[in-house]
Amino acid sequence: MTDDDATLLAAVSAGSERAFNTLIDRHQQAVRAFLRRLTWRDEAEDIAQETFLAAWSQAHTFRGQANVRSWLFAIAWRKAKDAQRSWFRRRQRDTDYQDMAINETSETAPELRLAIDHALATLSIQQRAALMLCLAHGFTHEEAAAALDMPLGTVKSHVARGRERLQEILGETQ
Amino acid sequence: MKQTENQGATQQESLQKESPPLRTELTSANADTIGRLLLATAPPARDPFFRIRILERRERQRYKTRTVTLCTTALLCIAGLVMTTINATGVNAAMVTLVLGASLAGACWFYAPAFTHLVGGRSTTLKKS
Repeated sequence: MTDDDATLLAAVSAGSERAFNTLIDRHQQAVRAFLRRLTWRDEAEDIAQETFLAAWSQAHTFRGQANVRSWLFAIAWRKAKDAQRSWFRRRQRDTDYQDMAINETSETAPELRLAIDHALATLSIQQRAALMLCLAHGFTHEEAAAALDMPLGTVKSHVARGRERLQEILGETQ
Repeated sequence: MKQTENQGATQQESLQKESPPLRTELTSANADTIGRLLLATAPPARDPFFRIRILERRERQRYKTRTVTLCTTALLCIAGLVMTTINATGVNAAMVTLVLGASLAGACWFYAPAFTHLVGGRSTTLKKS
């Protein structure tokens, strides 16, 4: 899968439209799921689009030091952090917050979903990112530390703290 | 002998407590449940609309870059032409500058909304509700 992805990215770098489409189809779900837990829904979609556009224009910079998925997550994370700092987006986020609550659809029980959302809201964006990569996307701590550009110890403590918080919530709701 | 074995076992246990192996920590049932819950808001695995929105946005970016480059080139050409005409014919430079400035201001006022939309606008079409 990793080799396949690297070949795909090489084709993207050479300007192949078909390879770019395949890259999007293959990774969009994971990247968007990751971003949706970091920020509100519309902004997550916006950042996900920017991530793939950056992948298109920066494909030649991929050196194979990580796998393609980690590389995409690293781009998405940098863009999410930048968005967090942006005044314009912060203002828009405040006004669109209600839409997010209305638009969310999921098979999970609403009370559990709300409890998870509430628990995640008490965590910092760094903690949420570490938690998502390690628990939802199966990254090792080392891989997550590389993708998030954080020290390994910090990632471990973020995951442990976030997991504790979510376990508390699960214990309360089950 | 037995005591030494016990001591070894206790040391091993305390080492494990100090640095729990990563995979053991992440493969517990709770971690799976939490992972599943975290992915509850994930989008569908296949979403052609998302791909179309990206391609549309990329085309818009290309169009923007092309238009800005063309506008800049056109302005530079006009400025060069005017300077050459002034130098060659010796007409009143202040008058020409005034007329040109007024024309440019008028054009800016007329095209400002379209230009703002082009340069600052975001992808709005094909947005999935």
